Amino acid sequence: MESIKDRVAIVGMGCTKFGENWDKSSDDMIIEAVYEAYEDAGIEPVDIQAVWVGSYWSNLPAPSQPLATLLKLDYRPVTRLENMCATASDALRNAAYGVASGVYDIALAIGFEKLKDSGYSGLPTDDIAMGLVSTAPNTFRSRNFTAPGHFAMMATSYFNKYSLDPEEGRTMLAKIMVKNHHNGTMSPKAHFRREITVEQVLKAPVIAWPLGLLDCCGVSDGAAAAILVRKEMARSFRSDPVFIKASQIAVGPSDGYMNPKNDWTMVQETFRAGQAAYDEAGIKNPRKEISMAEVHDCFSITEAVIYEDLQFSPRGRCKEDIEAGTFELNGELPVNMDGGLKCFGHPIGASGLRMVYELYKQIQGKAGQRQVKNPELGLAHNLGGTPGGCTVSVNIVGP
Amino acid sequence: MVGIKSYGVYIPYYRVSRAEIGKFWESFQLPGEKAVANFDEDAVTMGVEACRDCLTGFDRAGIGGLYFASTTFPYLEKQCSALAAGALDLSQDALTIDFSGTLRSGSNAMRAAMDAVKAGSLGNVLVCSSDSRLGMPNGGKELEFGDGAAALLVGKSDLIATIDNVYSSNTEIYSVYRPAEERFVSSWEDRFLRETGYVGVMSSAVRAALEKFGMSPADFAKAIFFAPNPTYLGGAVKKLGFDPKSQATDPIWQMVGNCGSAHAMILLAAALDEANPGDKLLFVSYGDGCDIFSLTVTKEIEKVKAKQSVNRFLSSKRQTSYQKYLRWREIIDTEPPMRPRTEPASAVALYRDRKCGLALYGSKCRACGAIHYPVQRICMECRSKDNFEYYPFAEKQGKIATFSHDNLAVSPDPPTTLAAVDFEEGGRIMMDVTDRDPSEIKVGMPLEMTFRKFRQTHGIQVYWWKSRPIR
Amino acid sequence: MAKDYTHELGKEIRSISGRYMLEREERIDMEGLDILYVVGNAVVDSSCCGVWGCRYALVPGYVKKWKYRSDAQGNAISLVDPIADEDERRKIKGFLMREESINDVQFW
Repeated sequence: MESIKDRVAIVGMGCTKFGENWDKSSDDMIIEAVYEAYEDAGIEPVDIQAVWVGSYWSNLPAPSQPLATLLKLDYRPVTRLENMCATASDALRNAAYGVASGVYDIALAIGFEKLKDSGYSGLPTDDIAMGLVSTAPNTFRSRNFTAPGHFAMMATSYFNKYSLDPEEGRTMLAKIMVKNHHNGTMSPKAHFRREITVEQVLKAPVIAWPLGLLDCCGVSDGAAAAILVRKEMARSFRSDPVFIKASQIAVGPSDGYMNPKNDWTMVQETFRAGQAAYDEAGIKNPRKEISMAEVHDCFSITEAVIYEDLQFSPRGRCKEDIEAGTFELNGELPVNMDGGLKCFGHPIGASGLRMVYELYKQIQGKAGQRQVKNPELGLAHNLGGTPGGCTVSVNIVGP
Repeated sequence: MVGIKSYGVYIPYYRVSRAEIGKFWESFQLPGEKAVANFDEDAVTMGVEACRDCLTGFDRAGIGGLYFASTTFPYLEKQCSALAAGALDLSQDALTIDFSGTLRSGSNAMRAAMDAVKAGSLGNVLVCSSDSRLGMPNGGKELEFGDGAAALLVGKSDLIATIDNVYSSNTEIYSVYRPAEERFVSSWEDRFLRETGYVGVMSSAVRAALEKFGMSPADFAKAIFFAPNPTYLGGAVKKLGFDPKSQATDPIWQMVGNCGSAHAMILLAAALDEANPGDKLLFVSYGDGCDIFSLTVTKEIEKVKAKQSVNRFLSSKRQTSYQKYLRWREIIDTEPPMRPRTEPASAVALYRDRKCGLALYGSKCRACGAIHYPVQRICMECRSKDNFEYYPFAEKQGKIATFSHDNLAVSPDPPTTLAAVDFEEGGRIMMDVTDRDPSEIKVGMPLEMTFRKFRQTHGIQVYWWKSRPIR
Repeated sequence: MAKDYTHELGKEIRSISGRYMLEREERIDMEGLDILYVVGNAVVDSSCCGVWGCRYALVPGYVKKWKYRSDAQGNAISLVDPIADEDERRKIKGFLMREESINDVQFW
């Protein structure tokens, strides 16, 4: 099996402001992100040879043709894809494979989502996603499935296994939220930019015990795009291209829903995708070799467990690292430098490329107040689904 | 000889205090409480629960028929006994019949079952009656009605009570009635109902029955009379010469209410819980006439009454509020949350899902023994393909591996308690935990399965299973 | 283990998924124990999975030292001892249901 390491470079990226973009359609956001990327790469739109575009829900089931119409593409292939919360990361991965195959020199990856036109808060697809319609397999049937409910189950199990009393556990999680909110205040493109305190997190009402209001992320609209070229061409576009070191996705067989051996204190998909990416990138010691990470902090407990699944912290001991400030902006391994989903919200099909956008800017030294000192390898992680069964992407990029 | 082989009951977990209802309306108050079906229950689910209780220890493949009685079936057109037979995993060639239209429908079904067994048409018949009737808010019927179900297995061998004699009568009378388009039960003036209706019709029927049986009130250890409330009961009992204290009592009205077509059978079950071998029982059901049975308890009773079905369900309960009752029965509409519309259920998918969904079958791998829910054609442990046998979960118990109480999920009884349930003999299912006190839910807590309404879309009521703390 | 409770009433605390505000503090004497509870409202209007609003009560615990110091913003701080005992919690929940019609009670 060959590795994608250093075969593809990102030479341009764009990202909209994330938020309740009442005055922008998804078309407007796509144009904004794509044209920022064109400009960043110094490329003409007609040079694009293939496009992979991802959204979880928006414009479903419209095919690729509206995108070609919108961008006036030059009769090039457009592929629409969906892979839950990892949709944009998978668009990047597919575009990278297209370029790495040698068939295309220049490819465009786009992720977008328009959630705020629906009139309600949240994802529109719960019945469909839950397999309650027609021919779906009915693996999991709780009518009342919400994401906080599921991730709360992971927190309950984690607290139970590692003997954290609820107050200790909730305080540990609150510290992650305080960190991400702090980082978000320095992100101009973030949806929510305000400091919070640990005590404010603990005073909030509980949404799904033990997760409170401030442990949960929200919905936003947004779009992000990346232009990928063959390695040899990279420096003809810019002096500071960012190279793809690994691009992995692990999709689990819903072990947590069916297998009593799965104790809901880890997410196997994250561990497996992470390990596969480390192998692909030749990383032996992730804690030492990864400079920074953008991870899927849909809930506070998710980020805590990610530290362990990505082998940043030993099993059951992320609390020590959280308390030591390891993952803070000026810590040993900064995580969610831009504020994460907690501050950007989660337009499902856009988040993966928003994370890579942050890594790209950090590596180029353009992250402003959030700038990490001399970053080398950056990791982006998405988790789509629930701890019981999910799709996880891990992309690693570096100079 | 024809008789009863087993019995079971179901009384919902929740109770509403009658005093709370009276206080809410600043109106008259009655003592005690009424049992109310949870938001995820109806006549079908309660009936299935009573049948499961009745069938504990019996081979379901041998059940020849299911006669299901209710005045509150969720469908006017669509057979609920077939639906219940599916949930109970009865044989495809079991005869299913719905009995309805009267408070006597339960005893009508019992009579029909008895006749079919006697005639040799069926070997045994499961008889079930279940009701969740509505009285108009701020009325006497709302205070008096309760929800519940009972089931009897009628057959020829290993009888816990023989049915020695039977008498039926019919009387055309508007006492309680409900037109097809109405949700709430109507009735005529109480004095007419009581004197001419209940006491009048009942007394003449019971006298005729006793004469036919060649028996007198003194021959019976217990006389089980259906009555809408204790006042009615007292009137009839006295007039007929039974002792209201020792012979003819209603032990459930105060704690549960008048359970409609199921009420008489629940009272019979309560009498069987206390019965001794040799006891003679008179069983009188009322509604547009009477069905009257005389029974003799056998020594087999000791095995079945050990379950103490009625007492168990009476003592396992939790208070809920009148406000919740109004919402659960959809008597008042509250503003719906801004959420995506509900997708319609597919009749085709439900048809395919009868065994796995309705009867809760998973699979067990023949190669490695791994147990799955739902059925997995490829084993999660050894990846064998199509090498499995169907594996029933409905009567298995499990424990909570992990759980959450979810306030964001839309529910008439928030929070939604969701758990990963690990079964004692293997397998895990993600399930709602219903009929629970959230503060008592813990990792490791034992749970049992319960058949429930799951979601309703476009006229199709989808049923599935939930878990509950053991009752 | 006793901990600090910051008195911060009437301040809207916002997050990306919603907001809450604590409005009123009460101290009750329950069998000689001085218990602090706080009543507030919350709205979850931008979460990934739905909309919810609630009136809730937060019970920081037994009051050990009332407003014994202030934070940098001038908010008073009390020392409280969180209530872990299940029976005690049940009693307080019963009280809050009766007196405040609040079903959503959260203990520190």
